[in-house]
Amino acid sequence: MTGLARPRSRVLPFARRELRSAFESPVAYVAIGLFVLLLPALFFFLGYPVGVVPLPGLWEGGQASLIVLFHWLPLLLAFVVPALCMGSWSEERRAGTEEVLLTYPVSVAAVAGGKFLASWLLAFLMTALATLSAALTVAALGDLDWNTVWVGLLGAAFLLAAYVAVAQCLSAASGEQLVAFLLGALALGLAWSLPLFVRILPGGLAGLLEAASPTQHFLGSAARGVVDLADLVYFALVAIAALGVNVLLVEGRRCRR
Amino acid sequence: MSAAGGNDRAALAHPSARALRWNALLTAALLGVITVLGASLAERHLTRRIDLSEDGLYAVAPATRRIVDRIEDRVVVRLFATEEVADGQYALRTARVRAQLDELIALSPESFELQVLDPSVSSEARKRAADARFRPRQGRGGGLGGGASEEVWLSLELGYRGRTARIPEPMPWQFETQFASRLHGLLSDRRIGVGWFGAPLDPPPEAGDDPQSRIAATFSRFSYVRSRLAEDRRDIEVRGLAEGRPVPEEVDVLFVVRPGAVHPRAAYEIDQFVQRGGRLVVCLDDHDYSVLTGAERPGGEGLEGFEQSALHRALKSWGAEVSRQQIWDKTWRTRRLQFNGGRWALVNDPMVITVREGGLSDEVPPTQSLREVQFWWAHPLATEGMVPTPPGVVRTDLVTTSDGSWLNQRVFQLPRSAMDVTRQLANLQRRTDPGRFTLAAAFSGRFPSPWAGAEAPEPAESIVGAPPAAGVPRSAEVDSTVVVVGDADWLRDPQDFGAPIPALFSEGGGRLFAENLVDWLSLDEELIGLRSRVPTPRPLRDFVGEEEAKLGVFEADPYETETERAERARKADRARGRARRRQWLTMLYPALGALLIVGLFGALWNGLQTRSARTSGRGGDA
Repeated sequence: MTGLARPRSRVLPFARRELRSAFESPVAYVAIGLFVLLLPALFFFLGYPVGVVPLPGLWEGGQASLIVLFHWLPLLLAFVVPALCMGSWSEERRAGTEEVLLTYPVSVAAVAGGKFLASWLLAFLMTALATLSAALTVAALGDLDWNTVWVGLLGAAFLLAAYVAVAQCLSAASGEQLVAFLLGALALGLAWSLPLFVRILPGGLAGLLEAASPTQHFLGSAARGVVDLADLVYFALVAIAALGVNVLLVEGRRCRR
Repeated sequence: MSAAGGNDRAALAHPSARALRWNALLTAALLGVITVLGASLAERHLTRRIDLSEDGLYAVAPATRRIVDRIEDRVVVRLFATEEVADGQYALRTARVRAQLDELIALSPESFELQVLDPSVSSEARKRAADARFRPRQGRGGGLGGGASEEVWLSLELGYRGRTARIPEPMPWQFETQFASRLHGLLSDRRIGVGWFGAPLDPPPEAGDDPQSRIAATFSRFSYVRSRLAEDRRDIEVRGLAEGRPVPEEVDVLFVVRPGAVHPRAAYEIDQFVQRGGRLVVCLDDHDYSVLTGAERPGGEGLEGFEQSALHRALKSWGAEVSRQQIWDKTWRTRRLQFNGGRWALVNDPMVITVREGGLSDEVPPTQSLREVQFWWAHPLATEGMVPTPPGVVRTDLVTTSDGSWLNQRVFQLPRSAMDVTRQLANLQRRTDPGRFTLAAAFSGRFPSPWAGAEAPEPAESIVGAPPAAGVPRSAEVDSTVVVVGDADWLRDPQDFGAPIPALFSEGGGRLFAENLVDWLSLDEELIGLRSRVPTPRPLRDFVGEEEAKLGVFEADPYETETERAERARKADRARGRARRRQWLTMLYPALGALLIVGLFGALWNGLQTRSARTSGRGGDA
């Protein structure tokens, strides 16, 4: 059982393959470029007009802090991550390469792990570039607390892990890229919007929704410079569960063949 | 082996698609349940949290730990809370307060006894809540439709050695401060007494809808800071000093605010309060202005009146004298609203000074932890060279202006427009060099009494009977501290005119300064550490201001000609243009750098891929 004994050696080749194909097409560059411009632009000029207390943009607020940028992350990534991951499995199925992939003498978990790792790295690279470019601007303008930036990025890495795993799971469940994107955006968008319903929901349900919301787990701690073990465990659990379901779905198809 | 047994084994080895789908569905559901359960278990039991932010606002403060460490007996914590809250928002608020309370109790579990009472279901709990004067809030009831309203209870009572302290409305975002300050008060054997004398005792202006009443409402009042201080201390109105009644024994810190022409006997009683070791804060100020119109309050005595009083002579003999001149601080000027010809105008007013780091002393606790304090139309304290302190008294400057400040003669009408300010500033700049002036100073030591060896002044006539006989005046027997501030508006009630920039007054840092002063003067420095837990202001660079300074927009001659004015307007436009350009460049450079990195990486990656493809192609050909 080489696969069990050395799982890394099985995951990394698939991750490399995915990254290679991502960087060979211009789509990844365009997506990264757009994100690097869009996220800081929203932060600088628009602020965060969602929720009970809208937050002002950088120039209007006049404070050297990235909190508004971090508020945008869960919402923007809820649409960007499904766009990045929509082709992970559905495109393989459509092109018929999934059958070839599944004939390799490796476990489905290794393939899913490789795809997850590649998409997560790509999404994190994009987020880190956008965040750091905005952080450099803010640091040039005032006394920025860099610790909150690093902790925010750590939290973003965990948030992305959960988002990527869910988006890939939904990509594995659908046969079309567009359907995968729509399902992913819908699921993650709904998860993002959970705290908005807290005001109109009964007590117990409100608490449950808040506990289930990735937005709350990110904005309540990492975005403020706090490393909260419970929040990191939440993201890790969501990522593991989504990856588990992803493996089950693909394994089911493999067994049927 | 039977044929049926063989079929079963085959079915197990190669399950049908339907069985596989069910399998996947069940496992997915199981994984979902495990995730939800795991996350809520983690939420409840994994309380490990590290606050790495510079402000450290999300971890228990060292001051709170020190207060909890001082508990000798058990503190009974009675939480009056509705257990089943249908309103989602209130349910979350209760949960957050409860989580923070658990965290605080976990600091020393043996020191606390938690009792949770639900007045919604228990009549006994309801009676106790009513005895404590707690009131429920009205929630919206459950369900998407809103439902009937419900009573939501959330209040806290702390009991310790027969004493009680209450938090009627715990707020999740400041619960630690609320809890620790109440606990701190509970652990002390007696509550600190804060006395008030002077303007805070003036009758409030008449309420009414006519223009005069509305203007009167914008004159100074001091109820906000007093009520905040009274949350954990005793608020004492000091009356009858002129009639020969001494400052009450229970007063630890006496605020004398905009005193005017103090009666000689009142001045004597204040002096004797200091001679007994009482702590004094004197806020001297000129006439009261309406922030709305800039007009003076009619009938005010101002500093002229005070300068005729014996209290002025006493303070001067201790080394403290406040000038009638007003400070104009160009560096730390503040935007304020001015009602000008029926319209709101924003004035960047150098007479409204927001003192920041560099102007707040690092040497003493009351100012060490402050971020900023706003002073309005302030007056400087004379330097030690001009008014020397007596032997045995040490002066510490607490608050100073920036280096870019000037002294101006008292203005009888506040500047009404930006142009007005610019003209007067330019005039000042032409006349004198800028300097740094002291706004507040503390004097500590043994103060000589001006009445030493003399008799107490005669009291004013009283209608409530004869005052107690004055003893022999005491002088320089015990240590005390006197703080003198050249402004009283930092204690004024904040005012909101419904316009974008209200007049902050005491909410511009003054309230914190007052609370810190009281705690410092009553030797209660733990609370200062607790109170300093506010986010650090991190203002952005003012590109427009920098460019205007570079181009010399403010250095205009007040008697400039039309051509000069046009030239200055052109300069101001150019400064704004240059500031805009700098803003854009500051935003674009990092973003373009990030794009460049991505582009370079792509080019490198694709170059390497092409090269390796060529190499492998050549290898294949060979």
